[in-house]
Amino acid sequence: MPAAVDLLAAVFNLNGRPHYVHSGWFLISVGNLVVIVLMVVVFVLALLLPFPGRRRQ
Amino acid sequence: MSSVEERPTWTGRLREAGVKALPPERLLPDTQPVFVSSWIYVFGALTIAAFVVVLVSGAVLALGGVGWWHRAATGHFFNSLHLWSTELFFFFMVVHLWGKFFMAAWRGRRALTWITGAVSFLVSIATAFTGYLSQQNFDSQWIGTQAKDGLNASGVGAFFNVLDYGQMIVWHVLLLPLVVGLLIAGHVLLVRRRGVCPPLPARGADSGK
Amino acid sequence: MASEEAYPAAPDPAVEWTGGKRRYDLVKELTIAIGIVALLTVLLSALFSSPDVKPVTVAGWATAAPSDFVATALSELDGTSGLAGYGPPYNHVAGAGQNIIGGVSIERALGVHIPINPAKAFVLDPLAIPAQTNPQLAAALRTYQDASDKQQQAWTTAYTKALAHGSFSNGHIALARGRYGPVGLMMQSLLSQAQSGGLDGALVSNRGFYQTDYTKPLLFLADGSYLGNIAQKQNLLGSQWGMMNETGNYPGQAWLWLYTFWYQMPPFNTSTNADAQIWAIMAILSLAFVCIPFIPGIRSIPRFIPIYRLVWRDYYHHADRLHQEPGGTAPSP
Repeated sequence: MPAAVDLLAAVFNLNGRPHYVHSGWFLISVGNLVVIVLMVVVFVLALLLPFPGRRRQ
Repeated sequence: MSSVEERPTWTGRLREAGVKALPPERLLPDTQPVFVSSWIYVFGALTIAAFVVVLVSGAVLALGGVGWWHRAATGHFFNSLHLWSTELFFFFMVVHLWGKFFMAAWRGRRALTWITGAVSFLVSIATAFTGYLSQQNFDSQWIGTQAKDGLNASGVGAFFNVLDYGQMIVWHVLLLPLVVGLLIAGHVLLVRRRGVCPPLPARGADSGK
Repeated sequence: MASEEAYPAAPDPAVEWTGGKRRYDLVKELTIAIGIVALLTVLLSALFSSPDVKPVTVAGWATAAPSDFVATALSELDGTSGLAGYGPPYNHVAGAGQNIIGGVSIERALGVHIPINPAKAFVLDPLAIPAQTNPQLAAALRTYQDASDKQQQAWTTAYTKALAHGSFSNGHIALARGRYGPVGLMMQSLLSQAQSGGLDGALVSNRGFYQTDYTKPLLFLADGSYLGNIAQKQNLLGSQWGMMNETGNYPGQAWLWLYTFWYQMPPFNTSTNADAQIWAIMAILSLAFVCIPFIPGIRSIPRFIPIYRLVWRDYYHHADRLHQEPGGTAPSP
């Protein structure tokens, strides 16, 4: 399993040259930006998506 | 009849207080109020789930010892599990926090629920911080040598030495997770005790609270 | 059948819910959540792994950047290094230690708890080890320690000036001729000791066999430029929002955004008291965060930004219909 895992991890190698979004004094890593954007997207989806299980007793 | 039988025991008092605050149906209910019908409500459970995965992956790392993950691919994989479950832990916790803020979930004598949650967030940051310091790699070196200035400036550095690996590893593995666990347990028990916070008044109506 | 009682229009949050309930399995939800999160964690780990950049050693530093190493060692010896002027908790330096406001410094108030004498810790004590079998080095150390402060200063100043134009080849320091006294041999010996790996061990070992405290080698590394240069390439410096960042392209600590934000802003980005001031600000903001339920205005934000209407839209929909219907009931959907 470890060898297979290493192979998989090599597909998305995050150890390479760092990528950043830089605008004036604002500087954020692409990794962090993705996480923050995902959090906002998930929050909005959680609010908007219909919730199942409206059966009542 | 002896006077000893009439005086309640500490154990009895604790039991009575516990059962009064949290009778079984309240501690482990199998119903929920009808207003709980949004996906935002699952993020508390997801946060706890992530915490469980953090603890289990951390326990496996402890089984192998502090140097294991540097040497063995399996150890490195469990380190990855520990890192990503921590990222998920904070991810879900922040979404849960946003939801609870916009629901004003501290209403109706639930301030302590908010407080325990907020303190859990802050202590979790400290726990993750000691984790970064315990890695024994470049990250730990850099984070330690940078963080020491802020901690020294606040006086904390005199007693909490981020460059002392022996101190950081035990804070990370034992002390801080224990505190986070206790805070989460208290937080959840408070939610059980008070019940889920009901909706803000519908348009036009006002409960005044 | 839904009823008005099941969907009160303005429920009192301070009393137990008496409205409608539905069946719900708490333990099952948590179990499913653990399963989902565990699977997600395994997936992320398999795809992205985790970073493990090897630590810098003093040997590595001395080999890759001998000029920076020797310059740093010299500054520790002559008391001009960052650590030598740091103050508490490492040493007593008049006026050193950051102020929160005015002359108020918790750092100074608490004093020295991790005493370190830089000249002894990083140069004189480590050199005492090879000096045991090197009479010339032993004599050089004695000469240095017996000399007056003024004489020591003259030697180290001359050496520092010459070092700027010196060269390094195969671990050998080549400088223009000058009056360096014993400092020349001391620095050459320290460089050799460092490049061979002996200094790493010497700095960690305190008074025993087992070691867990890396304060000394880390403070020594931090006084040089080598560690910081590596960090800068990874955007880890304080001025690069570094607190949030991780090596490579890994997500870091996004939750530290507000803490690192202040370091990018005037006046903090040029203040020598930035750490103390920002810690004070964050302590106050953290306390405010914990106490939101008690802060007027902040605690009302949810009412003014009505995201709650999305959360409870099902509930309001039913409540609105039921409270408009005569008799307060509505047929089941």
